[in-house]
Amino acid sequence: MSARRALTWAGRGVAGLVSAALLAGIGFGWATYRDAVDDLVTDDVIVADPSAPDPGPPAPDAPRTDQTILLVGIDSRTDTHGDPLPQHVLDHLHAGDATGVRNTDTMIVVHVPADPDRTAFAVSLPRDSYVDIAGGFGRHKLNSAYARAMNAKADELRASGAAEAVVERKSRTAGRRNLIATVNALTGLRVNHYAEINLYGFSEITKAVGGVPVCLTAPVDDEFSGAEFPAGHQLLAGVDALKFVRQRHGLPNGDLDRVRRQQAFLAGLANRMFSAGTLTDPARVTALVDALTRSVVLDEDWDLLGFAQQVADLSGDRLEFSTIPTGRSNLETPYDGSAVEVDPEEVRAYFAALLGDQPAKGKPGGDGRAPVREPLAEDRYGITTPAGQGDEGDEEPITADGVPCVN
Amino acid sequence: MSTERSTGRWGLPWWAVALGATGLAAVGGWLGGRWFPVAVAAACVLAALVVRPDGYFTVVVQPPVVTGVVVAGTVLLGRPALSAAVDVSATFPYLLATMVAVGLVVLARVLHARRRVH
Repeated sequence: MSARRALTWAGRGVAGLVSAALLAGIGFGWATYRDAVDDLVTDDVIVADPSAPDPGPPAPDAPRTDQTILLVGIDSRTDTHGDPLPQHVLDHLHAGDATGVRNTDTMIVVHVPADPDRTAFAVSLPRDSYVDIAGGFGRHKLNSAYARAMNAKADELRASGAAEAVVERKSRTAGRRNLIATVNALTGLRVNHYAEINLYGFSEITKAVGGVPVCLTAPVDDEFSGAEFPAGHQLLAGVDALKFVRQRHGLPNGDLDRVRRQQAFLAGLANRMFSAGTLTDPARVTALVDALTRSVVLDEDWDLLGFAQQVADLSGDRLEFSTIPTGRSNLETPYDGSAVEVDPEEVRAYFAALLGDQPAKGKPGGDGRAPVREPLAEDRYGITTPAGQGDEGDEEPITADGVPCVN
Repeated sequence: MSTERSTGRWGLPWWAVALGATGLAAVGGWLGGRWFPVAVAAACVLAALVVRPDGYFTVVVQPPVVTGVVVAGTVLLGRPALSAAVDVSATFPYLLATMVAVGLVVLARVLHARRRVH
């Protein structure tokens, strides 16, 4: 065989291998996405705006629209398929409540603009916000909107003799719809997508991405949540990550500090999830998809592929985290104990400002510090100082430069 | 022309069809959306039709490579890797169909050439 012929065959061998590897990689991505879509638990929770004409199902090539997503973290002792969590997980979760009360302890409104040049924002709604609950339940803490409607619907269905499985499913849908309606009324936005995650799934996701970097300003030792961490930088995964985002006892600002922790944690998680190290590792992608399908409930008709693209195409420097403006955090209420005071007009003005001229100038209830925005190439997901917490005046503004330290 | 065809020499060399297919696919990648997989399919099938028989190997293995090269190029030009990964994953069914079509074209040409020879 001549040298030239040998070279030709060597070239063909390499080209063939490269081709096969690329085909396998693309096929893996496609199959992963398809499986994820097949296994995801969805629920029909987005109710069309009665005042707007039904636009019908979105066309595949329709122009992008603004996406407003309600992210909900829920204390649940079952997974998304209704199966109970393993006992060793429950022991670790310190989720002592087995009464079936499903409080939504984390609620974050995420807005992804259609225009990739605008800034996306994520705004936390403190769970103890004292607000008007949709469905005629009156004023209560925001985290009860889901459970109130769910229990009411369950009672109604049981009275009419529905099967328990039907009661379970339909009452959850009613709870989710009521929470969305409450958030719509509070924020003046129109939530068009919903994502609910339970505690266990959250811990699984942190494991799938190989841990999330966090930083504490001071050591903590809290027996309620089981949180026991040293000060400084650390990598948290699984149950430890849960303890970190759930602790509120023993923190200077209680639940508001917890909200801040959740924002810092989500910023770190987003960075890890969308990092090349996660997305190019098939084992991690598989684990991540597995964790997501077991722990996340989404609304129906959510074009995830299109959404992922819309997020990925954002040219804005980062996703900005903040908190709605709040008043007193020890508002005495007739039936719900101590709650967080919230002025709906201020909240709507706050969102209107975020949607309009970004970033919001002169945040209502805040301290006038502008949200911190630093263009950082490698870290697109930062957090800004939550509004409404400026009274203490002793908090460092959190920037996305590295891992922000929180209380 | 017809004598060249019957002796199996007619057509473009392998490197020309590889470059041409990549260029056409790049135009599709620039247009984005559905255009990308459609451009890859059209470019690769066209390449199979016009390549010289000694370049059959090239046209058979090139669809995934052309896809990969164009996508890698858009990432180098500043497209977020996640966005590109999502896009390229969605092209898999098109890619399979393209490879089947290319295989059929090559098979047809081989059979056709044999009939002419005999």
